[in-house]
Amino acid sequence: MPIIGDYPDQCLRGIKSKTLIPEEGLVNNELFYFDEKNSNGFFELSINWNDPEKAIPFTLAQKKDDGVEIKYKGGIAVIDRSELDKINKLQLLNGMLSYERAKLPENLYHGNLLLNGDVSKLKRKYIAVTLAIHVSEIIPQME
Amino acid sequence: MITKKNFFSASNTTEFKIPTNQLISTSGSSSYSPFFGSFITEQARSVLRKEIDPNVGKNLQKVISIIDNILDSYVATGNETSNIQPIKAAVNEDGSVALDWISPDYRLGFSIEKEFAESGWYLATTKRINEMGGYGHFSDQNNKEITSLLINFLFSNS
Repeated sequence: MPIIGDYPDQCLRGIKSKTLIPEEGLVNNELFYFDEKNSNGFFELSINWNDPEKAIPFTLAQKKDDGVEIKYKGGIAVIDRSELDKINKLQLLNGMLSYERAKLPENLYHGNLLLNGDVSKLKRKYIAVTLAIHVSEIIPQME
Repeated sequence: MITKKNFFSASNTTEFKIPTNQLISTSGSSSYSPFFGSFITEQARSVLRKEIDPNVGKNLQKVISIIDNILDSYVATGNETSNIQPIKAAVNEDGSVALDWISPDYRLGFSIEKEFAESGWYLATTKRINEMGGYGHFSDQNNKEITSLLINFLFSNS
């Protein structure tokens, strides 16, 4: 799937629980499991794009649907877009990974990582592992 | 042909995948001695005591036994084991079980599903370990050989 448009250098994946951080600096593979398909038949993983200055504090401050509780209690995992592009060129992926910006009324930074809908479950886990190992930074939640 | 030697020295490749029909043959030990292996797989064993799908449990037991057996054979042949961390185990939302060795430079794991043939392994490394990657499904013919190669990787890189 072609990637169209300009994107920031990093994407942010919110970490819903501190249990997804098994050791300092590492995230669980589960953080990148592609389990849900969108209406176009692609597996979809929600991210925020790290637009300058405001995306990180916005993401850390995001609330759950109840509007009260902090959504990402474990903080944010950062992946460089250059790593996404590199991963996508791996022979085992061969261009099946993509990304988009998908602004929401309540979240202008929102986007998705996208994966072809016919990718097997085991291969999706391999891709999750590959993404997890390329996390460049974990930004902790504010206490 | 993938051999044990070039499996772990894929320095010129960015990824690899082992065709199941190109595996080296290893002589699996038939005697199970639960010492070092059972320490490393303790968390995985604890998952068996949880309420999980019986078929997932059966397949998990199978994989744990294979891992234990191979680890114990490594100990028996004098390999250094102090750097090998216990495997992490988690029950996923879909009822499958993930067994993982997680380090800053590699992820090596097993996905245990209801059907053994849908279960499998995966490996990804950073560029410090040659940026290797691969995955594959188990079959009754290949599971011991594949697991042995993966544990060989673990001993070589821990």
